[in-house]
Amino acid sequence: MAGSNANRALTGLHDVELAALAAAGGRREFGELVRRHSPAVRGLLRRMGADAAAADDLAQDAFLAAYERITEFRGEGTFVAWVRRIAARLYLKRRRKDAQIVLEAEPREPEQVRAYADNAGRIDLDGALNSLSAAERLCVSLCYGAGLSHSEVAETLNTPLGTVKSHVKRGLDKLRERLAPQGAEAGSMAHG
Amino acid sequence: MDERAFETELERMFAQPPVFRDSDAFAARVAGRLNRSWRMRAVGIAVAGTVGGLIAISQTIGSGLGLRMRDAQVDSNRSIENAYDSAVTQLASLGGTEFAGLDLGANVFWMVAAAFVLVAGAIATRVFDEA
Repeated sequence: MAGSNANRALTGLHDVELAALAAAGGRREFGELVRRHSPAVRGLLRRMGADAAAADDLAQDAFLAAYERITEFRGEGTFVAWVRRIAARLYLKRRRKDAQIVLEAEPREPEQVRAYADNAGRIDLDGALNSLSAAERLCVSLCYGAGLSHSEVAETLNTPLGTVKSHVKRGLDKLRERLAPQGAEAGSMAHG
Repeated sequence: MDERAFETELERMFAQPPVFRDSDAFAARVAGRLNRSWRMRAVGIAVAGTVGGLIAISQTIGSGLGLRMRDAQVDSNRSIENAYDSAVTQLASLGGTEFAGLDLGANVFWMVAAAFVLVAGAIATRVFDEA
């Protein structure tokens, strides 16, 4: 009973308040932050290209790293954005070698344009990301999912800035094509 | 849709997390690892403290600190007794013969000191209560 009351009290707190309590050693408060934001972190890692098991392991490590560094979070941005950046950097650090191979690979031939929205207009970002090359997907996810700048991605991957920019541009062009508002055009092309 | 608007829309789509049915189980796994790491740290600190304490004790015994402290205590008692005897002698020479007849030694000094400590403690407690 007391536990459920405590849980209800935690759910009413803002992320910044929970982070401050976690910084004072509150593991239950940090647990509430994990419960709230784990889907965003796990989702980002999968969108970056990690398989489900690896994404979950990395997400756990990212949250543990966030707990260790919780005093560095001062509420200037959102908590989830902060953890997503930690997770993205962790992913790149662990897979730096693979990521460089991916970035240096030749861009694959554009596949036939396919729409990733159903008739109700719901857009399937994950499906659309699957249509990008691994390098495009990684760069787009890092920039638009983790909020890293082009320079930060280039620096983290030790890759020329121009390479990152061109992957992002190609990825965006493909996504724009696939995620464009669906009308008659999409209806005729969807799943075609 | 222009480029900037599309990028904003893309950021919004990325901000919408997929639904995971096992979110609670995932949170429990993180909590488990957090608790494990905390327990290991606590055990580490306890072990380090114990080892440090044992080293300190062995160093203390090895350096003969106990013997030196006992010597220091004897010297201190002797100094106090000398000071007391000297004070009594001076008082006697001034005519206080009754006082000089009392052989209270250093015990009186310690009793007076203890009384001072008690009075000081009482005053401090009162001051803290009123603050």
